[in-house]
Amino acid sequence: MPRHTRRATLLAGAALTAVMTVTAAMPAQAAWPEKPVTFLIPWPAGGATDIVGRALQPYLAERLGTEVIIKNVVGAGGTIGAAEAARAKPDGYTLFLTTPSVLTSMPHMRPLPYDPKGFVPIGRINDTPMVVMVTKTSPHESIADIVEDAKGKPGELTYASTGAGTLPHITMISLQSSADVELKHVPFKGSAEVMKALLGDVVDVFSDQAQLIPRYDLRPLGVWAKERLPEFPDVPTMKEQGYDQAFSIWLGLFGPEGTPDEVVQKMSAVLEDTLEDPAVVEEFKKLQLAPGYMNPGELADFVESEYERNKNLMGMAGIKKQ
Amino acid sequence: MEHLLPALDLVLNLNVGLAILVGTAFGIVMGALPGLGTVLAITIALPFTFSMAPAPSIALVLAIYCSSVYGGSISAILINTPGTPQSAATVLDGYPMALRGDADKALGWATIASLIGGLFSTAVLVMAAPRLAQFALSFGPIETFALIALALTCIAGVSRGSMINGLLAGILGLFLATVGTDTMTGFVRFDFGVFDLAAGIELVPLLIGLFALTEVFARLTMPQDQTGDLEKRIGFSVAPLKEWLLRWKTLVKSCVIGTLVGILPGTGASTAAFISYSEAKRSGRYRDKLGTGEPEGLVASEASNNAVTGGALVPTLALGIPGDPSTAVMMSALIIQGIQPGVRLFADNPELMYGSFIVLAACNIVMAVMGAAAAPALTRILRMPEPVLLPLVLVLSIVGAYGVRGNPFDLLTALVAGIVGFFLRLCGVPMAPIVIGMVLGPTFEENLRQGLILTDGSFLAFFSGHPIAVVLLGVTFVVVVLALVGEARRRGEASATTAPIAG
Repeated sequence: MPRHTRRATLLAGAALTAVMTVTAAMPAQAAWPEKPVTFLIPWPAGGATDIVGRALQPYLAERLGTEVIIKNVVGAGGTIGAAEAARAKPDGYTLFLTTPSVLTSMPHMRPLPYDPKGFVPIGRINDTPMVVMVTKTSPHESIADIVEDAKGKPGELTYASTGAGTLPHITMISLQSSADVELKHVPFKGSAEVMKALLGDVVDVFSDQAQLIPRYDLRPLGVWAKERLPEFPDVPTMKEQGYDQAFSIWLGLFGPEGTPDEVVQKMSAVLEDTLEDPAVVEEFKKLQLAPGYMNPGELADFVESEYERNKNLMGMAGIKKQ
Repeated sequence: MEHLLPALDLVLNLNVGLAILVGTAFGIVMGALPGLGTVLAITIALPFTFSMAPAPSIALVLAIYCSSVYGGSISAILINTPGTPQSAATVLDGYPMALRGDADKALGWATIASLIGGLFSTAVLVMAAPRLAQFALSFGPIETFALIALALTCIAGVSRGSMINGLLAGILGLFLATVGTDTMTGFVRFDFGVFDLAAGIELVPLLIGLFALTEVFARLTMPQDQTGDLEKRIGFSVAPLKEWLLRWKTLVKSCVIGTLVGILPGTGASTAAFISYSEAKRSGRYRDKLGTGEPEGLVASEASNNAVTGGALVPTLALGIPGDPSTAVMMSALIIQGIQPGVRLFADNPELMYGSFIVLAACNIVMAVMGAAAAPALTRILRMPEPVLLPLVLVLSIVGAYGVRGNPFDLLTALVAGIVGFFLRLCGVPMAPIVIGMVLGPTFEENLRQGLILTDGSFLAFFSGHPIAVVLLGVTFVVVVLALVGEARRRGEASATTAPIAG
């Protein structure tokens, strides 16, 4: 290597070190955010959670006055990403955008290297109710049909899930225990595989997000929500059919343990404002998501109640911590 | 066909053309760089489609899809590292050809085979998508299990040298695939208390370790390049038609295999390439030369993996069920546009769908032209002196292994795979079966267990009421027996010829 090149490299290295030292020494208390904020998403880019994150990205960046970076850290049902988020410096520059499973159901299945209750709630983003569905050619026209059929031949009707301990599984555990029936559980890798099995008549029942119903031309039997869904006004809620439970898929924004309160307050205000932006409302409509903002306090209570309920339901199904 | 004119109107514009050009160039690069691959390439492009109209954004994604599958063959041929897992079988004959100084020809074979595979499957998609999608639905867990069992027999086809070594390598691959979270029960297996292993062993870093790093280690320990004096031709050269005609059967079979495997959800292009390769090894005209740098092997692998693109789009577009991980990400591109993938996709957006078919065909052609144009520059890599080439491969490998998930643990995976792979290579254990085991293992296990749940634990019940599965398992049995008989005969001959010397 010629001498001047080596000197240039050394100089560049020194300059870099200097910059890094100065940056590190800056007080974190200055008005947040003064540099890009990273949203860590524990699911792959292009997945359902990621799409929501990227749809919100420009709107949040505009309001925060800084870049929003999306980082996907994937694997092991989202727990790898959750672990990394928990380890992040609680300075408000790494936030965690996640589906609830890593906080409310995974902890009941296996030891995890993070405290699910350690995360600081910032705000809930959406709330999409789960729906029990069958194919259009299915003999079952209502939840009562399924229950009756299952009583007649216990363990013969099958339901699909996207894996043990996932919401499609937990909702069906809830139905089985309330109705005192037994269906056979067939877990699949993801909802695409389930759709193939459902349309191919390999499994009978599935409980998942409502948007699958028009996509795959399915028959909804019951909505796991307090009220009927506007898109299916004729489909009764599960409560109307005697099963008083509500289950929904939602996304929440959290900070690692110790995230300063100013950050939480400012971020949750920005989030609330963003979700009311007509452009965002339009974007959500395109993605078939129901907005469902919750403030930090409400979200904290909500996570706690979901955590306890899942613990009970999973215990009933014999899912225990390893 | 009444939708053809509006469809043409939709796609014949500057934006779509630009999207195809940019997408193809980007896809080839992403495919060729080890580790980055199709899914990541499409993912990177997704945010840009938020602000694009439906037609150009679909064109962009389709162009990236086709060309990244093809791009993987370039690094497979030039540096013995499949740029994507789909090209793992391309290494087997592509790299020996490059070593021989025939990189220009190897790229020619791979490019034209990819083009033919891509166009063939596009034609199938256009003509028969709805009917074939119904066929895909007839594959439940039990049928899929039988199909994967058949696919696993291709381990025998790619085991150069010792069959035992190949089978052991295949089992090692199957075992590695069991590490991580078991989705059926939620339990974590074989993680030895290492939390990062709960996510399982990532395929791409493993591939990079097994191929790229072992190659670097091997070259470092054997610095004398035996082929150093050979003239290494650069550029791009397509073999004369006569040469192609001699291999037409393998070409056609590989196109069909690729398309069919693409249509059946749950498998993918790497599986297709291996099945076609082992079929060529069984029945090809030059089957005895396969694995030593025979174009027929390249044709089998590349025609087949690109034929998967059109095939995988059959269930994706006709049913909204993605045929492989790449098409799953492509569905996100549709959702971003507010287009709901699913059973009504075709009926609701006929112009856009016919437009996509035209775009898909165009993408394949642009891909081949760009590949040919880039070949002279790319093949120069081979003339690089080793002290420059090896660090370059090393850097690319590290970036690739890290780039997939951005997880430093994957670097460790690549390194361990490289070291273990190096010793396995010294012992004459082939790498391809490990990859086959890793790729097929999860689907194999999942479908077997789902099948057993459905039949209440009875394996015998797989044979009643599942005609497709019975046929596939029967074929599997015959293939295994034939392979064993062939191996025994080869051994018999080998010992017969060596006996006088030994005696």
